[in-house]
Parts: sequence; structure tokens; C-alpha cells
Amino acid sequence: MTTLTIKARSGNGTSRSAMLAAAVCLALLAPTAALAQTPTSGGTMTIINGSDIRSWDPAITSGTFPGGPMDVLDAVYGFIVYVNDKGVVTGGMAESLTSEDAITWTLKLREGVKFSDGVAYDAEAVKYNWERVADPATAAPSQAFVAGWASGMEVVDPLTLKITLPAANANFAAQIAELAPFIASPEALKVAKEKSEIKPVGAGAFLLDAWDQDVSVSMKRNPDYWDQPRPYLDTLKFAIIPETNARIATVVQGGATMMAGYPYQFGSNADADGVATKQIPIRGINRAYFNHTKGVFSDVRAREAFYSAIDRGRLMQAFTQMEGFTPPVSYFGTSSQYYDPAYSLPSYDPAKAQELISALAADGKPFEVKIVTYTNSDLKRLAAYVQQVISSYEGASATIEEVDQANLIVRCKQQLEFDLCVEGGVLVSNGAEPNISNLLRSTGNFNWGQYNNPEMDAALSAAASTVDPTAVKAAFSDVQKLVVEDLPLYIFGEQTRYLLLRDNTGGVVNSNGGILQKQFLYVCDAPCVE
Amino acid sequence: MRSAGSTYLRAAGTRLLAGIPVFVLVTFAATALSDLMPGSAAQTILGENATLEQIAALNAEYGYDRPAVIRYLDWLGGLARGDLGYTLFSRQPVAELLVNRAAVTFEIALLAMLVSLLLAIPLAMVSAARAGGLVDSTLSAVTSFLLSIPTFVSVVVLSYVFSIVLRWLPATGWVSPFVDPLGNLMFVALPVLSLSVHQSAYFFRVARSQFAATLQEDFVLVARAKGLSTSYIMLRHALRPSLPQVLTVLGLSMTFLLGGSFIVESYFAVPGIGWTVLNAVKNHDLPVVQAILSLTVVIFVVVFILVDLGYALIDPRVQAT
Repeated sequence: MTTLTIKARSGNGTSRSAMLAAAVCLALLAPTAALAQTPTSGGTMTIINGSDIRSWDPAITSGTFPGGPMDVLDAVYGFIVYVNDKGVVTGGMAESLTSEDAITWTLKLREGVKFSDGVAYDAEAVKYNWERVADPATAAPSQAFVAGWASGMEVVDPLTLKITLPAANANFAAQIAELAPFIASPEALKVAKEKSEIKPVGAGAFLLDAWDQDVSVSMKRNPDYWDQPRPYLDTLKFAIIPETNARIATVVQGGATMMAGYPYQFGSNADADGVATKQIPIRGINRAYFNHTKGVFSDVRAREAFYSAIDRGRLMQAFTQMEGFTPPVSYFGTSSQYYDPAYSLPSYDPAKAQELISALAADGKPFEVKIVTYTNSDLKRLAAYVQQVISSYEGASATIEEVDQANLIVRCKQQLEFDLCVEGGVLVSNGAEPNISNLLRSTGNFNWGQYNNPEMDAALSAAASTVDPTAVKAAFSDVQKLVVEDLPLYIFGEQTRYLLLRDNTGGVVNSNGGILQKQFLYVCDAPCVE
Repeated sequence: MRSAGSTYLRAAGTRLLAGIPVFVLVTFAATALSDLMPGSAAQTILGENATLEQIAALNAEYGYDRPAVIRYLDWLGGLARGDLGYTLFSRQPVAELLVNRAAVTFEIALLAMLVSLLLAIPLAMVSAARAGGLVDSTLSAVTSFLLSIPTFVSVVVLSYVFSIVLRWLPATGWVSPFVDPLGNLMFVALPVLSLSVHQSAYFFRVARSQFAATLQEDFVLVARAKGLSTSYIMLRHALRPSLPQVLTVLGLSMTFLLGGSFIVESYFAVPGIGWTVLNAVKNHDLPVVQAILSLTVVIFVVVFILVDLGYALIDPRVQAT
């Protein structure tokens, strides 16, 4: 459900009766006003994010945080296909990417689309870009994925690219939207000798105007964008403000249009005049990784004990300093088409936890947990809460190691020096794939704890190998069964992201977990509701 | 006998030479210590999905796989040629970046110093002239309170009051004074205020004690005996003898302002050298880190030379050697 809250602007001396009359009129007109709201061209918006883009290489893709690097790349290149907020793949720069059998896929491109250097955005350009991603020399994070099928591309005509996969993959289009969505002018890519020399020459809604590293990226409207009269904005800026409170203050004060975050970060600022919050209706999970290779959590009883030992609702309260969290019962949300109520994660049961901890101790496996996380006040509270609760059980203890954020991936994924590794972000899963495979498949990119169960790999493959919705649901039911049996991850919360934005921001459309479709953004003359 | 000018030059030259080892030590340490930092430039560019092989290959492409000594000598060679290199991601010339960002920091630091002095010196004179009185006690209490507020607290409080509650001043950002002079003053107001809170209290306390001591000198008693007014005595007789101590504090405060700029610039997203070096360290952008460290060393050496020479200029009893 999409929620938009708008506060009335404060009055300045208007009489009570006049205000009452105005309120009545507004109440009567409200539905009409909302419907009459039409996008207008012109204006400037500034989206704030905590960190800057590092490369204009269209092959470098990661994250879906609104205002983040993928959003910046999208402004210039445009997603070739999007995954909308319902989890359905829709056309972007391309008209469609479809398949009848999940093996042969057809990419239909739009006629007349050109990159900003005049080169045609055609099947050859797409093929060149994807072959470049597949080339190990490009060092693209998605190299392994694209290399798996790059040799199966065939240019049928300038607007049609046929892709034959080595095996059926019903999630292929969604994976393209997440892992290889950006196409740049082949000419611009060819002249760049190294990554930092790549100029952003795309066919997206905006053109790069200026980039001041770690300060701001400024863009202007692409007059040749295929979807006229979009984009509506003349100028789009991305400002870099690392400090969360400073980002919030900037939006409240009117220095920027929007920022993404969570209600517990916004606090009472969400109620300030001229400011609104908008929920991005895409669920994400808070998760921590169990180390499956060594230590206490290599035993499934310890993982169950951990789930049973801690009230995850209270844990989320300690983490966010907000109340009212209900612990997730599955990898999928209860409203997901794939959710199977037959399988539930262990609930809070201190007696069961103590029983399991004692049994492990009797087997010579003391319940000693090393928690690794990064330096952040929210995560400090979370880790301290876990330590406090675990230490309250007889024969159990927990230690905390805080590392620099950049070092977390080294400490956990690369060195495996942890029992429980807590990554602070919310992993958005807009639809099942590709994140579920990244987390649970033995070769998954996000499988930091090296969980490895061939049955899980087979279930994920089965889900991917058919376009029959019933068969997909059955396969994901098997996945949920294994998640409950193996407890590969510690899934402790579920959240959706929010935008804190000026209340005259129109056209907010999210896709791919949070990416803003910036071509739809427009400035309203008054507070506007969608 | 040497002229005063050549004496000052020799004194400045001696101190400059003494600064060279400091410069080499600091800049080499930056190169060597970067190897101990978590992550790498390649990891930053490629993101968390990159494989170890991809990260190693890209680091090699940037030359980060070479020994620290070789990388340092390379950088020194570039410096000798006046080539500070390019920023790692946006490929901006580092020298140009350095000039732009340092100008921002200097503007804020100088304005903060000016505001602090304009507040502190007159108040210190008033306070010292009425030592032990109500005004003196009140000002001492207020400055004690202000001194106890760390910069990371004052930035949050000032931002909340002036940006969120009153909405008078922009919470973050920057505009060049050459583009929009008034806008520039609006943007620097909060950073300058944040730095001035602590500095004005510090200047006040130092200047007040110095003025109080000077007012006990015989020549001030003679002036009082002549029937000269307190304000005349303060301005004509007490101000100059009290300045050497304030000058020392000014030199030290420059180091505080540069250090404080790291917090203030980060919080208010002001693109000065504090902001830039923090981001550069985080991103392993070594050319930028080296350039800013070099500039910082040069600033510190020059400031302390100026302070030393300033003593000799103000107080004839001190000789420049």
C-alpha cells in the first residue's frame, strides 16, 4: 500500500472562520484537485544521498537505494527494463523483454532512440554492452551472470535481439533489470582507456552537466528523450550529504527535494511544514549472516537456539528505537504471491533456547557467539542487545567486534572471521529473484556465511526453470521449507523504505526496489497528492 | 650588523627547512598507511558484488599493487613537476580541486576567526576593566559553558535551531561568493557560527587574563594616576602589550579551525578541504589525500613561522633568530 502524508501549511494570521471556510472548500474540492493534478514541465529538483557515484561505467551496478549510484546511472542511461513495485518486469528504454519458454528471450527496442552522441540505441549497441560486461577485463560485478548467456545473443534486426539461454530461466528479465540494465553508447565506451575515463553518454532522461566529486552531480533535461514530454524537470541534481541528520535538516529547510530513509530516522521532522513522507511499497528484510563453515552456527541447533533466544520484535525496537515491529515469519512477506504459511521461522521461546544451548554444551559446543558489525550507532544498539540477551542464558556468551563499514565485507565475506555478521542495510527483494538466489544459493553473491545445500540450489533452479506460475510457487514453497529447516540466515526484521520529501513533489514512481523513475518527476505549484 | 629584514628572512628560512622532514614524514606516512586501511579503491568502485580477482585486477590497473615507497617516489616526482595528478573517480585535476576546496575552508576559517575576535576582544576588555564584577563573572560563566560544548554538538544544535525551527539559514551546501555573494554568506553562516562558538570563548578567556595582567603593570598605574579614562588606557596602553599572547592563540586557533573544519564541513556538506580529505580517505583517493596533507603541513609551518616573526614585530624584547 502506498502512503503519502501531507501536513497543512501553517497559517499566518488568517481568521478562524476563514480557515474553517477554506477547509470546507478544500475538503469538497480535494478529490477533484487530486485528479486534476497534471504534470508540468520545468523546474529543478535535488535528491540527496550519502555517497557519490564512483564510475560512469554502465557495467558497474549495485544497490537500489533511492538517490544512490544506480539512480544516478539511471538518469543518464535509463533502465533497459524495470521491475515495477508489483515485482513485474516492464519496458524501460526497451519496449519489452519476453519469452514463451524461459529459454529464448526476445528484446524489442524502441524505434528512433539515439544516444546523446547520435549513435543509435539498437540491438548492436545492446549486444556490444552485454559482451563487454561478460568480458572479465571489464571487471563487472555481473560478469559471471552475463557470461553465462552472452554467446547466445543474436541480432535479428536493428530493433530485435534474440537471447538463447543455456538453461531455462524464468527470472532472466528481472535479473537483467537488476544486474545489467544500463546501455551506453558503444563509441563512448570504446574510446575510454580505463574506467575513470568513461564519459556518461546514454539515451536516458537526463544529460550530465557537471560533476563535482563527493559534492554534487548536476544534470539537465535530455531534449531528445524518447518519451516526450518527459522528463518534466529542466534540471536534476544529486547532492552528497553523508550525515543523516544534515540530510533531514536540508529537506525540512527546503534546500533539497527529497531523501530516502526510514521513519525512525525522520522522527518528528516528518511532521514539519512543507514536508511529506512517502512509503516505497517494496518490502525488504533485515538480516544477519550465520557462519556455516566454522564455529557454533555450523550446527543447525545453534541457529535454532539463536532464533528462539531473542525476541526479534524487541531486537528491532533496540535497533530502530521504534515500537510495533512484528517479526517476519518467512523470507517472503505474508502478502507475497510465493508465501507458504505451512513454513514459519522459529518464534521466541527462551525455554527452547536454553534447552538447545545446554544440549550443544553437552556435545562440547559452547554457545559462544562472535558478532561482527560495523561502526554505526543503530548497529551498536542492536549488537549490544543481542549480547545482553544471549549472555543471560546459562552457558552462553557473546562478544562484539566493530569494524569500519568498508571492512565488513572483508571481515565477513572474504575472511569468514565471524559467527554472526550483521549488515545494517535492508535487502530489498522486489519479487523473488535475483536476491533470493544471491542469498541462498551456494554460489550466491550475498551468501557471506557460505550456506551450502544442494537441495536448496535445486529448488532455486527449479523455480527459475519454468514460466508456469504454479510450478514456480511450488518450487519457492520448497525453498521456504529449507529455509525453516536449515535456517541459513538470521532474518530479524522487515521494513519498507520511505522518502522524506517536499510536499510539492509530483510523479514519484519507484521501481527496482527503490530506484526513482526520474522522468516522471515534476514540481507542483501546491502540495500534491498522487 | 644584519638588517632587520635579512634577520627575518633567515629566521623564516631556518624554520622552512625544519618543516621539510615533517612534510616528508607526513606525506610518506599517508602513502604507507593507506595499505593498512580496510577496503581499496577498486572495492569502492566495483561494489560489494565484485570478486577478489576483479578487485585485485583493478587495483593493479591503478598501480595500487606496487610497494608504498615506489608509489611515494612517483608522487614526489609528480609534485616536483607541479603535477598532483587527478582525482580517482571524476578525473578532476587535483591541483585545481585543491585550490577550490582550500578557498572554501580558508573563507570559513578566516570568517570564524574574525567573528570570534570581534566578539572576544571587546568583551575581554570590558570584563578585565571590571574584574570581579557582575559582568566579568557572568561572561566567565558563559564562556566556560561555551568552551565545554564540543563542535559535534554545536553543529547539531545550531542546525536544528536555525534550519529546522527558524528556517533562516540553509542546513547544508555551498555557493561561490563570485556567483552569489549574499547566498555565500547565508551558506557559510552556520559553519562560521559553529566554529566561532568555541573560538570566541577561548579568545575571550585568553585575552581577558592578559588584559587583567597588563592592567596591573606600572605604566598602566601611571596612566591611571594621570587621570586618563579607562577606555583610553585600554585602547592606547593595554591593548598592544596584551597582543603577543593573543597572537600565539591565533596561531594555535588556526590549527583548531582546520581540525574543526573536518566536523563542520562534513555536517554542513561544505566542500572544503576537511570534507574533501574525509571523503578521499574513505574512498582511497590517494592523490587527493596527499595533496591536502601537503597543503596542511605547509599551512601549519607557515602559520607558526608567522607567529614567531609576529612576536618580534609586536614585542621589541623578542628577537627573530
